[in-house]
Amino acid sequence: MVSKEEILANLSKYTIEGNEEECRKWAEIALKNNIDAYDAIMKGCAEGMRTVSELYDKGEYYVPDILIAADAMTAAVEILKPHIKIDRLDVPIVVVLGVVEGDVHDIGKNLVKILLSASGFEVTDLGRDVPIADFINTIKEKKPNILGMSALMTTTMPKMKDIVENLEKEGLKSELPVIIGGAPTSLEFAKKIGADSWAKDASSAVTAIRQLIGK
Amino acid sequence: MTFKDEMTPYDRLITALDVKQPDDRVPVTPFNREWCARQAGYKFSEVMVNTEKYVYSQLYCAKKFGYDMVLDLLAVHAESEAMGSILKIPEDAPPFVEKPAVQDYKQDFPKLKIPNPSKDGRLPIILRGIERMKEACMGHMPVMGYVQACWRHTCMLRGTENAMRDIRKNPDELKKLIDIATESLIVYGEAVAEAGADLIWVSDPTSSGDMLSRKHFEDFILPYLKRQIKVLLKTGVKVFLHICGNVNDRLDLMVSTGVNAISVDEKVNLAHAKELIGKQVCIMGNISPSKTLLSGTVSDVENEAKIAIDKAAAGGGFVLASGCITPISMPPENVESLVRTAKTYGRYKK
Repeated sequence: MVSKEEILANLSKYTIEGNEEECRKWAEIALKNNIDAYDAIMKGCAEGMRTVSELYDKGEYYVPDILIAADAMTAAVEILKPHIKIDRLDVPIVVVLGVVEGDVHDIGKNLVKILLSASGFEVTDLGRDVPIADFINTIKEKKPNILGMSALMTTTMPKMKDIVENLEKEGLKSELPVIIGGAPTSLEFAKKIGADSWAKDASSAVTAIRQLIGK
Repeated sequence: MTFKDEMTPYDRLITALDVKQPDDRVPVTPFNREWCARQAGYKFSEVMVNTEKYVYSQLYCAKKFGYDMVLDLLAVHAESEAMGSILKIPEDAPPFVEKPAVQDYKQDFPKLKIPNPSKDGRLPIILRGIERMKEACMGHMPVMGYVQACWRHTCMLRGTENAMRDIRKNPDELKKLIDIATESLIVYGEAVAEAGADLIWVSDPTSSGDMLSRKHFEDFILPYLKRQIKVLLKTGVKVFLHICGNVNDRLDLMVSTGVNAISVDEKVNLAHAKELIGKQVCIMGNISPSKTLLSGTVSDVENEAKIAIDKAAAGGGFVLASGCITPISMPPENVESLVRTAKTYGRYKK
């Protein structure tokens, strides 16, 4: 019998190291030992990912390390997710994410998605190069609690303004907090285009989204 | 009050690139590409296929706004497209790689060939544009050619995320890919020089300290970048290296490639750069394309340009430039403000 502490510690450790194989192995061990799947994700993998974010902020980790860690975490989450007990989650918070049209830089958006899913959010990911109409239609259909969008180029960031304007035209904006991100964006830019929040990186995006919905 | 220019844009820029002080003022070179197309009334997808329209947009804007350089059809991933990466070309925005050439090393790597610049992809269109601008400028206005940095090309052949993963997961295969990317850029770079470029922009948005460690940079990029730049310099052109983002920890490595100038964005403090590397290379920068040139007022542009001049213009070896390519919807009066500030505040005292 392996202790719960050891299992969680290993899930965290191998996420940080970006070791997919060990992450898969410890996810299986967690299930075999009747560890709650949600706890394994949140207190194991997501905890590790939080350390990864800290290491990035400190300049000890870089993008390759984050990607490898995210891959390892995803490998464990895939095994654990089907075993999450539905009633463990209270009313799910739905987030729609996408990178605006003309822009294919989605590393940051993908990290936000992984961190949000691991934190129990329900994420609809529209992917990259997403036309305005797709954002609007998905929002009408899914009625999300939050819209998150990003652009990595100075040439595509004005698209975010168009999307906010379209939301206003459709009468969807007042009910829907919008958060934006991406290297060339700023808090001033976010305010200027009528977005409600801005995050400088993936880990602060999760914190900012929690603040937006008051959780 | 404005002053009369005494040097030609060519002489002024080349003097600064030689880390000397121009006779009259600081050269000013916003990196205007799609912005020029829009000013001239074209969609970006039109100038992607029509050399004459692209050349016209460049000449028209440089003349109308009075800045010191024209640019070839830069940063459209043409080098990677010519090796098999598939582009998506929006109607009025720059293209991007939709499907990288090397999805799988085993299957796709052996198919890679070094392109023939006079035949493959849209490379001939770009080279023809350089020739046309060189003819039209007659040595008065410098013509800038563009060649991807080897790591940029690698990312556009492999997909940026996958290339980043490969640093840890497939370093040996990745190095083989960087190697052929570098070779192909040497061949293309020589063609750009031969077409008449006076200076070449070697650019890389994905190797700053925001993305890769100094050690990654030293192991996976620097040796190849040195090789690429060494050959470009041999053709007799000036070469400047641009890496987007925070490069404060690797300015010394960038200089070690032998380039004439380093171009930086707003994440680098120009005073710091001037002190650290200003005696060895010319510094170009660093007006924020989004915060200032796109979203700022005329006086915001003036203020930021003055600060840049105060920090880095003393003694020459400085070019007032945008931190990266400028946005399509940048207000024209902000370009006017940038140029006016170079022509007044950027005046060198005799």
